[in-house]
Amino acid sequence: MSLLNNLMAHPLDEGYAVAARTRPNKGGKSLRSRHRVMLVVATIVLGFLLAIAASQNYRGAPEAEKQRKELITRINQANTRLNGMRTQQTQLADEVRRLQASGLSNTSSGATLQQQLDALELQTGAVAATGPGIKAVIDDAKDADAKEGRLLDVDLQQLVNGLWTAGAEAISVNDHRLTSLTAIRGAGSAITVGYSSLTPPYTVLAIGDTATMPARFAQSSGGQWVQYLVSNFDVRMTTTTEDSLLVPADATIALRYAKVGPR
Amino acid sequence: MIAVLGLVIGVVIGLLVAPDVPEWAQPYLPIAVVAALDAVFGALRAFLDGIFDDKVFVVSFVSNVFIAALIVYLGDQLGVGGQLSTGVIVVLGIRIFSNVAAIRRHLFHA
Repeated sequence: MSLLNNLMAHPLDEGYAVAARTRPNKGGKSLRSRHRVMLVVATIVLGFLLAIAASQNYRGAPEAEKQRKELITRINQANTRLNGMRTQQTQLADEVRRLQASGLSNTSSGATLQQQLDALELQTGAVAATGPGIKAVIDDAKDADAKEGRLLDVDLQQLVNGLWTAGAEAISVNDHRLTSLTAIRGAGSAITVGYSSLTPPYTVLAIGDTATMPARFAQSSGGQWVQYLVSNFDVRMTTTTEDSLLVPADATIALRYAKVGPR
Repeated sequence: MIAVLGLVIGVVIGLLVAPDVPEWAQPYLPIAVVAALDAVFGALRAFLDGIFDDKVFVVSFVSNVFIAALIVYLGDQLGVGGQLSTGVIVVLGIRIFSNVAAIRRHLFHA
């Protein structure tokens, strides 16, 4: 305690008092020229120090802003490249499918194989699907902040599971086809579907029987979960039945196993 | 008043030259500035009290800056850099406040 008292009571350097006592009394203040020079040098150094400290501070802020903008540009560039490569991948996959079809069309066993392939590709999400179905657009609450009103990955999972239970045959979220290997997860504050980050609103297309699907969805546990969100958290959701929906193919399907066939 | 002139010249030189502070010196710059400010306000108060001595000012200014930087550097080596620099800033801040209060009393008789 006495340390703090001492600090507050004696903030002035004692050297001043000592120097005042021992200075020869000459009526005014007489500065010896050597001391005067030192004084000037000291004040110049002081001003210099203040100036570079201030300029250091002011220069730091735009630097950080510039780096942030650079990062955003790089992210956008990487996204564009990714989209371009996805398109290319879809085109190549189509070409492979064409070659496959032409190779299988020669024999009858090949034709049955082709039929199997067509059915499987439709169900697993390797090809795009069209048909009537439900379009559900779900968004965060209008005044959502970090604590309330934001949709989580589990909400989207419940919605999608409800649609599967209601008899959906093909589902896509924001143009990402859901396959048996697609994960809906949360990363930070964004929901990722198949490793792609999505931003709200989320458009879910589900192809299925429009006569029974809406009712079955409303009765499913997923449908009730979403209804609870809408009623209690002001989450916005609109559901419409459409005559023709296009659910794209999954661009991330890759060949994993291959075996050389019998000659 | 020659001191004020020196100060202005120093600020102008600093703004014109605008040197790039080297990486190793960057964490000590704010502490050095606060220590220098403490010496300046002490000098101002001494001037208003009538006991200003330029040699004492120069020595206190240089030693304040040097010792503050040394304490922070020592703290960094020991792993308590943040706490020690907080302590230095607290002490210097208290001294600056007291000196400014005395200066205010001189200037405004209040």
